[in-house]
Amino acid sequence: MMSPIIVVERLYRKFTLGVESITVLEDIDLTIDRGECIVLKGISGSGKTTLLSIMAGLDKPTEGNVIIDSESIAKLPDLHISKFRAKKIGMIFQHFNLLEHLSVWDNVLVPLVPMGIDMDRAREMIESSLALANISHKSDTLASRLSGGEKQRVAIARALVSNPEIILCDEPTANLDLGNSVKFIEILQKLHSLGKTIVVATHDPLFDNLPFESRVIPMANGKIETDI
Amino acid sequence: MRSSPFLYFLLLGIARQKGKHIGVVSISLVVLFLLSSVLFISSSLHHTISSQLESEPDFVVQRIRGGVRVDAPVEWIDKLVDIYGTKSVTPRVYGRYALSPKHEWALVVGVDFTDEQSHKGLEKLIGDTNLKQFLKSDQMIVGQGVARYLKSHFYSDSYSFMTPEGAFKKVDIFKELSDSSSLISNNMMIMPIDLAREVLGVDDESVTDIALSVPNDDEWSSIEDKIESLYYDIRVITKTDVKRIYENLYNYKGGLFLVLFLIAIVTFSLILYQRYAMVYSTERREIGLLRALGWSISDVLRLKFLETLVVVVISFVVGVAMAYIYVFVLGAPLLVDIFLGGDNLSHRIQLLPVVDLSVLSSIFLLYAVPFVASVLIPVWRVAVTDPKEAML
Amino acid sequence: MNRLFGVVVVALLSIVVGLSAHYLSFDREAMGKEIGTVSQITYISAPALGVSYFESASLVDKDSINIAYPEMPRAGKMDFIYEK
Repeated sequence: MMSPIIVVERLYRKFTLGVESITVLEDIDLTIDRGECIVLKGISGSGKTTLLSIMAGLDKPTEGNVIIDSESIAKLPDLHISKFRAKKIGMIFQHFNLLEHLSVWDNVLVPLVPMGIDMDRAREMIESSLALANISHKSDTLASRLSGGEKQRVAIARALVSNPEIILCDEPTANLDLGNSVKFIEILQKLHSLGKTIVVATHDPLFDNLPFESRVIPMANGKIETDI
Repeated sequence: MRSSPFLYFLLLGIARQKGKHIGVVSISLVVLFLLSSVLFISSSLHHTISSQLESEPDFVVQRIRGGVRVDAPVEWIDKLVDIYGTKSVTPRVYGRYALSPKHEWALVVGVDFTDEQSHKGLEKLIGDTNLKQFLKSDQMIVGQGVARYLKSHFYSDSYSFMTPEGAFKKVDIFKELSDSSSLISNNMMIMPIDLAREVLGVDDESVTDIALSVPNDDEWSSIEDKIESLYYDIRVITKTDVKRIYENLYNYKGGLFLVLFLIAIVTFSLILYQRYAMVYSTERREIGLLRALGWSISDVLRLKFLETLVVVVISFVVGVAMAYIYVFVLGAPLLVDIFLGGDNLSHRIQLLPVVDLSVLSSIFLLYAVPFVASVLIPVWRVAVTDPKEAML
Repeated sequence: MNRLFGVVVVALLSIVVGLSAHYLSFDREAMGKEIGTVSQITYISAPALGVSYFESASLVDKDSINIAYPEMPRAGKMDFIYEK
């Protein structure tokens, strides 16, 4: 049996708007094993993006705990959580979130900059990551000149460059056509075969039947409905 | 040096925002250039004049009538010589003379060439063989300001003074002093004392004032009292008084410029702060993204700090260098006239290169600190925001 | 990028070195020599009138006066009524 890599315990996330308190996540309990692929399925407003952000350390829970690779991240100070995120987690965002004025190569370099490694090592890591995402041939192209599918592949390369164990994807196919969405899923399959733990937050029906082993967790109104 | 990704990314960021940085550097250059030029001129003059004033006589004794200086009688010299503690007592005959046709003021200085010190000095200046030549007839040594003035008004190698008796006295120019001594000699016309008396109308029984040397400065106070008690119409000007007057004048002008600079730098900082506080949505998004990709707040601040520091250092070095060249190589045309008395004979003062490191450090801090703060505060505000929110 | 940065650093260092060389090699003695001699001769060490602070600094074109009428004083030139 695989060991758990992500454990979410009695998680709550509330936002205060004046006197009103809005509960975005309510009593979330979730365990994800190493190497698993999880699909958080739900419509917009179901809380899946917020849950993903908390797992990535980009947001803090109001109550509860998040343990990533045996480290409780809910109360870590900024410096530690940033380093943790840089080393352990690769994020793929809905709108790609590339730096448009930089080249593909420079975009993929960004997560490596604060890690203190030397340029030769960084170069190796970037080239291997670009190859994995199948975008090496565009390494000198400005990000603004890429198509949607190419941008997504750059985002994947950037997420993989530090060789993280966990890949978190927030609505990765929201801005892609069907062809590119399928290509994206093929890349996910490759990552799964490499033993990466993948969590995808999406409402795309393409993820209901992935061509590799995965678990779909439906969410609605900030709660997990049933863990299938 | 092995390149690091951080350095590469830093340079990338600077190159990417070339336009913005060039604009900021240009404004900084103007401010720093002006301020540094002013401080260089001021410190150079201050240094040169301060060291020159060390040679000023310890005391200058004048006769005052109705608050105005008049010629002092020669008998005062004997009284002053008798005061215990005085080393040398030298009468001085000098005065302003308005050169025609434009009434520019020159300083006619009479020198007693039988005085040992003056004699030695003159020998040094014109050589022993020429000394006899100089003293043979009515001749003078002129400063560069006077020489240029006379040439431009068609006096080739002599000038005819109008004496108080109404007669003309032609005096030949024996030598022109160089610009290296213009600081004191620019408008001087040095001639034998008897000739100067004739030109200025100072009779043999009078002198303009009397210079005293008192080697022991502990005795200055008591000797000053003794001199003042000699005659009711005596005024004593000490070397300390003269130095203090120039010190105050420099501080006043320097202070004015410092106030102007402070106003300029506050305005500049406010403009910069406003400019950077907008932190355009793209920059905001970028900072949020860096944070989301594993950059800590301190990493973001370090990047922006170093980016700003590069701009600051380049501006500072280039601004100060431009000021140095302008002041000490080109002679600070235009600006030097604001410091010096321009309403008289033209001058080409050689400014001695004097660089006061404490002043330069102050300029750097006064410029760099507000600049860096103006940039970093808005960046910090974005960096501490939730990365998700910043990326919206 | 590194090359451009290198060029800028080298340029800045050259400026600093060049100016330092000018500063250190400046012949200060020569400049002070004649001043000292004049001071020795005249017993006057104070700055010349034209470089003193107490005269107004004016950038008015001095050649604006018509030298055919030399008696005409410049506007604002009042020092003829004060003690010299």
